[in-house]
Amino acid sequence: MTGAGNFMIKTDKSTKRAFLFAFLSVVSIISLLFAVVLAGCSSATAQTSSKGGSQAEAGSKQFSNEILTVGGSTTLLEVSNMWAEVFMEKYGGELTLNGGGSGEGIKSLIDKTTDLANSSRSIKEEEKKNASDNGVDVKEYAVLWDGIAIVVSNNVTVEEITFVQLSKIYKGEITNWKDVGGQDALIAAAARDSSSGTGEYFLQEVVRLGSKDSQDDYSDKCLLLQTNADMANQVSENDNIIGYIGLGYLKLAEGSLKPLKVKADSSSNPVNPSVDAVKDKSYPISRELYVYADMNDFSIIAKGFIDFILSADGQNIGIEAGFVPIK
Amino acid sequence: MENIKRKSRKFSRFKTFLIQRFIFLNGILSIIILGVILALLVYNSIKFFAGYPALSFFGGLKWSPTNDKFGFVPLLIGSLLTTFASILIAIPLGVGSAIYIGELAPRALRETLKPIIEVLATIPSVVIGFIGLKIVAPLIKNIFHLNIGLTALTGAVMLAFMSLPTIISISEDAINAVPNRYRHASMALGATKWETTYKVVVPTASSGMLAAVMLGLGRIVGETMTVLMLTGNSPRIIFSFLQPVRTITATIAAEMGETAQGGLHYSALFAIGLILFLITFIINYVGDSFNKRIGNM
Repeated sequence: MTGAGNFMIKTDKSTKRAFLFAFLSVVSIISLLFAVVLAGCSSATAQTSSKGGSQAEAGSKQFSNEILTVGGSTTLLEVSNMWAEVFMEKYGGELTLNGGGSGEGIKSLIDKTTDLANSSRSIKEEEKKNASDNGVDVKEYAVLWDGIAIVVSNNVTVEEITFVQLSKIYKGEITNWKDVGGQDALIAAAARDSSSGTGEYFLQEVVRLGSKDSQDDYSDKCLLLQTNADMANQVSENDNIIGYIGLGYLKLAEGSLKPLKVKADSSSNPVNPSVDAVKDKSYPISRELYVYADMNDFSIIAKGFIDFILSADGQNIGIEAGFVPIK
Repeated sequence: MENIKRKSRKFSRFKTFLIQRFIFLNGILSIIILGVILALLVYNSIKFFAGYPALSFFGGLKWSPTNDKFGFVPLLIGSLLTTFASILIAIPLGVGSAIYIGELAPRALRETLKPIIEVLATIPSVVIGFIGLKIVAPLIKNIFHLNIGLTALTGAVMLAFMSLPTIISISEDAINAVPNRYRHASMALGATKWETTYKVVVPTASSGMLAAVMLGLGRIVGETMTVLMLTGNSPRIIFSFLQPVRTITATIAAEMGETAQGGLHYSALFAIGLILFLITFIINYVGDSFNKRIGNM
């Protein structure tokens, strides 16, 4: 004991300490629980693993003793989870799903630590070369379409926007809503990181207007957000932000965001983002999502799972998750 | 009989030898792990340093992986800005509460405050980020009339919050280590309680407080989740606390999962990871060497 604090009677002190200890334990347990719940709600790169069927059912289904690992894109994680649940219920087997990102998934496929890789971008030349060096024969399956909606807060008066305007906004050349028909207020452009599949697609097709030789990039003033949830959060609470999110997420966030109608060029009709518009290709910002497999090590359950994804049942689950069927 | 006894003694000596070796291995395990991490970082970043001109890395003004531009300056400035703002907030708060807890608070209050501050250190960074996103970001947006709340300052406020437990508890240790005879001597000369605190105790404990700040700094520089969620991540060169910035840690976390592994970008992320490792290593080393002085007082 240093300094000149207030001294107390000994017995009093020990009971006080015991009481304090109990109090603190309770406080810390409660705050920990609170923390866990919060973390569970907000964690973006969740990893899920689920086991198929109960032990009693084992052996009665087509793939009951088979194991399949799927990893990669976080865009596809949720719908993969839904696929896996139904698949395991119907055909048995044990599926493990990992997030981690498209690059991570393809790398795992090349390293043979995963059987299937989800990806929100197509495989790069570099990765193809690594794969063949490693004796992996990569095959691409396009499994779903994903539309990307341009969203703003409900208080923004702008209704429609063209590709060129979007490109200029994201390059930092248009910085005020009044230049695209809105009020006199600053625009803050929010993009996804250009290393994410969604961010890369948007950069290529919208910011660079599809030109292969273009070196244009997101303005360095762009906010770079990590997930659809981040994007929805920021846009809904801020009248200055323009952002883009997957169609599936738009459905979830219905009402709190306002999707803009998009015009491919000034002469075409403005199109509202919807599953139907993506399907009939009238909505211009959409891309394919992929599952990659190794043809040199293509297990029957891997084939079964891909067949299931592409079947009517699988595609319906995709629609349920807000994506657009591939056929 | 003699033989058996000798044998058992021999065995027990052997056992002692084994146990000693085992404990020795445990002791140096962390050094081995540190070495392996460093080796891994160096190994993975070789490709980048070999394939990318050092000048355009250390002097490059643009971080744009899709265009194969890996300029380090925006990230460094992002990290420095957030860290600087954060430590500016954390020093007065941390040192202030350490002085209060160590010197001025009544005993009962001190015994309550110390453990609570330590509980603060156990809050996961994603939760801190979440709180920042929901409370601090809108607040900063409104106070400064900004168009976005995700700024260097937002991250800095929450980082300061996270480094407080480290700064407070180490500073408080330093204050506790000041011998009582200093205080008594000062009081005997007629100094008041407050004069004793700021003219005798604080100067004596200052090297320990410096250590506390350095160790807090180490925590701030390396923190990832909170800055990823709160600082907006725009990789531009800007000298304002009220604009989005992109830190080294957030860059690695955001880009590592999606990049083509084994490529130049992947290797570049390891390279900035290596630099980050060196920065935090130096900060912690300096902090630790100040901390050792507390014991020698």
